[in-house]
Amino acid sequence: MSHRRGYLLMLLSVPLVWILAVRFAGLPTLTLPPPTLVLKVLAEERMELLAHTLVTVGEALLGYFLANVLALGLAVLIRQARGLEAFVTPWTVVLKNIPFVTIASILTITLGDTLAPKLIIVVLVCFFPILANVSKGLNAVDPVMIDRMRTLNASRWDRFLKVEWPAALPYYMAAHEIAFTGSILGAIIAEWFFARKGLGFLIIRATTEYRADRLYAVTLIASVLAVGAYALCRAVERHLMRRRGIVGEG
Amino acid sequence: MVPAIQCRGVTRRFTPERDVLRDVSLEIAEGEFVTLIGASGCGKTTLLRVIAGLDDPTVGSVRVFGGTPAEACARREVGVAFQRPALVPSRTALGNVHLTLEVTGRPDLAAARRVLEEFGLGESVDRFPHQLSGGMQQRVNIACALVHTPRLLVLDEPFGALDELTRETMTEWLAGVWERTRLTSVLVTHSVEEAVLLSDRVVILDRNPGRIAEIVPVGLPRPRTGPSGPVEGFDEAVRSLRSRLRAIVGKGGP
Repeated sequence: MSHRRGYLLMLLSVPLVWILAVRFAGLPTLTLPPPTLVLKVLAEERMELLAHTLVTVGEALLGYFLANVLALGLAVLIRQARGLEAFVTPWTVVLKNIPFVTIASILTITLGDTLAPKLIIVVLVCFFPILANVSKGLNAVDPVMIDRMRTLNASRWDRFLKVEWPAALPYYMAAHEIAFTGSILGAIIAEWFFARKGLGFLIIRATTEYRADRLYAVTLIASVLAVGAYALCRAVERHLMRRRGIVGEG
Repeated sequence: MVPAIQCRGVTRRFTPERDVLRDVSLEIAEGEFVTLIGASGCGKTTLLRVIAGLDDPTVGSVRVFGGTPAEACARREVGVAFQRPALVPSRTALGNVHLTLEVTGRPDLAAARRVLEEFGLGESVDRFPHQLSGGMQQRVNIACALVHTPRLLVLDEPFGALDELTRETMTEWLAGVWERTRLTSVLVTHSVEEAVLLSDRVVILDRNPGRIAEIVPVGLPRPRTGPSGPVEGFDEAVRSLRSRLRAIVGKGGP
């Protein structure tokens, strides 16, 4: 079965399984709303949902952009100044392994309901996969390429731009599959803790109000956003692969 | 006349206990093709890297066209080709050859294309490295090393990873390229046939520590192969070089 057919089958299966679950689970609508009810919420509350979705997407994109700038900058800096790696690595190991929900709580106390803590959470979610992958990619350059550049007396900039960066690019693209979808997740989680807008805020509100229909509607939107982000990454990756003469699968 | 390459008492020490090369002195004239041959671990690649400016001698000195190897590289007088082709996977054959010209500050797509056509790769200019055979990749690799018209060509087992038949064809092809350019060339190889076909002189290195054991001139007329096979005396030259090599390498054990 091709990948495309697999995805199509999955898309068709979700509503089918949902309908069957509603029919046979015997749970009240309040707990497990049928797809029709969720679609009704999506239609009736579309403007409000759109407004909250745009807030989450905005935070995710801004945080994602900042994470890219910071992670790329640091990866390049580490590559150029090898001594820096020894200094940076312990910091990245510790920061990466602190559960970011605890950091979120600290940020709530420190910064309150502002944009900053949400961006910090999104940056934390996106930063490490990008840093790790780009560093790995920059180090994956074939040593014979570096030797070739040295005998040609290539400048550092030429070496980076023409040899190291092309080697790192596939790794960078692979990082986006995690980081870009992670940015949506990060933004939603950040909104759980300190927000009056966004999908995360809607999830908390729907939970406290026992509005399962709205909760399912937000889940659908968040899932579409995350899967859309993933699909976009894959499409860009495939486009780049084609430009390199590599025929991608699926 | 000042030699193109001059190695004086070159010693390369990786650890205090081990000299990979010891007291190597060698002069190579401009336009001469010299091959370094010897058992694995005799330091031939190290000597090549020292000449190309990719490594520094611990003791001794190397002069390339009157200056240090680094100065020769700065003047863009050195071209290198290794066993593993130094090609950027995301660039086409043309893009890879052009990379040399971009880096050396002389971007000229037409020149890059011309070199590839001269190398019989006119049909493959838009192919990516993974779309080329091993032999074609190596031809692109050597085109990358030659497109900026260096004065010194350094080759480290360029055909070592190819199958026997391709290797023979490629060696003959390289001999043809050299006939046209007459570049000062230093080759590292394990193949006695390759050494005899291409070289003016063959330097046999001994190991533990790596040092010059013997320099064998190859007095055969050029070109050394043609449609009817190798020139007269070729087989004898191969036999003779092989027996000298065996005598030197055999002394030190396998």
